[in-house]
Amino acid sequence: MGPQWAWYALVFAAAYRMTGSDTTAWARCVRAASHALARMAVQCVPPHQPPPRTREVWLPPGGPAALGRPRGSHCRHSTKGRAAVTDPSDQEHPLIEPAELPGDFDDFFRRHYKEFLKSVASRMRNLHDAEEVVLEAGLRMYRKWPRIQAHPNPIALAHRILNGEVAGFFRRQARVAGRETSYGELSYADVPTVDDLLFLRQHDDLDRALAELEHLAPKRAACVRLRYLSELSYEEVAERLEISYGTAKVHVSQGLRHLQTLMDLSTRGKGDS
Amino acid sequence: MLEDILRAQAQDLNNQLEDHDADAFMHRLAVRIAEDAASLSRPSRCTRHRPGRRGRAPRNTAAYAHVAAAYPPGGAAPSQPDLPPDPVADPAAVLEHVRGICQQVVSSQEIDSLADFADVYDEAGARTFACLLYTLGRREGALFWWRFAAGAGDPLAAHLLAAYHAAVGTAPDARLWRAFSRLLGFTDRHLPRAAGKLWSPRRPAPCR
Repeated sequence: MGPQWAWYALVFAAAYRMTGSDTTAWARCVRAASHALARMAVQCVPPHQPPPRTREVWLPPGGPAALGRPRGSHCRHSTKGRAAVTDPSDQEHPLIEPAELPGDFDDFFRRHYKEFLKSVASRMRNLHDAEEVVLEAGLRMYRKWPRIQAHPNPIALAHRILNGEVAGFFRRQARVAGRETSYGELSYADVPTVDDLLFLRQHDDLDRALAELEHLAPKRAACVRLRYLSELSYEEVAERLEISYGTAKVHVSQGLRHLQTLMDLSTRGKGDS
Repeated sequence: MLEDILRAQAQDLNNQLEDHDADAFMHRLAVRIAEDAASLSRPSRCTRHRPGRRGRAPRNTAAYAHVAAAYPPGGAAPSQPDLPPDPVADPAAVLEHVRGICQQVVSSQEIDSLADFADVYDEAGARTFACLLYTLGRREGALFWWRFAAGAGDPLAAHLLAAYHAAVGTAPDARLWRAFSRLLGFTDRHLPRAAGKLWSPRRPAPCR
């Protein structure tokens, strides 16, 4: 068994470290190793592992239209393919009634939540994780709502809160990953597959270049993300980063050139103007 | 062309979010806010019970029905100051988490896996060797052998890589190794139990 694992490990480790931008070769190596890893992953799963929790647990089986059901009739722990709406009298633990959100907060968050999701999803590369980050950021925004309302630039403050949540997400996940992710816990996303890893690999060059740019020139990186990945106008980019319109254009242009250098792409034509 | 790559990714994001349900998402947020208010209104387990001060909330539906009263809309709960940084997400705390696991590994029966490691290069031995290197301040060596072990299918090695990269701020690596550790099914049952006193080198080297 030892030499086999050593071979697979060498294949994977070498592929990950040495193929660089050659995604085709990397994909071949991963596929070759993935068969053994998949067998090993199955062996790692305990026989009585609880069913995975779906992120749709907050929706009653009737979908959003059923949100008007009487208190306590929503199911909190439904699983995929099973409608498990329970009567309040049958529930062992009382359900939490959703908080009533103030109208202006609801309007603000509803108006911008897709912008938040796009900004985060481009960094998480996983919609489930992006939703989790935006929900946590939304919670913080709710706590600070009076301060956000009083701020001269509410959307800029909201983005600062969002970026803080992104920065802390993986660290928090590292601290809680060791806990048992049993049914009803925070297992809000499906278990990744090798295809998910390959998806991450596809975007690896750009993501690493953007991460490096964030380290070297955070404002440029933020401008590029908001301009291209969140598809905001220069005025909107300037508003969210509390800079001028002209500065936003300069940062985007310089950010693109910097990224091309980091990704070792040749400069062709003119940048975005 | 870089701009084409960026625009293509933006289009992918649009496609993913095209059918995203705003009402359902707002409902999830509202539930999370209510849960947070409920946790704030419950007394902390760490505080000693002092009769006459904060009593435990009755375990019935009425307690949860009055969550909104403990958490007035549009503002922080009265007893909460302006939110301090999350200690769980502190980079130093995450690095300490990594160091703590490494000490557990080398203090447990896992240390016996080093005996055969030089001959068979198995994943458990590689991971234990990496943990030993980390406690000795040999970061690069530890990273190499963790990658070796994770590539061979060791969930704990993948988790340690995810935690380390999350702490030092290399998000793409943290993201990849977190996904890989989840693929390998990492849970706390993969954490070793120290056989006795935690081992540490005589002169612990800073390992960042």
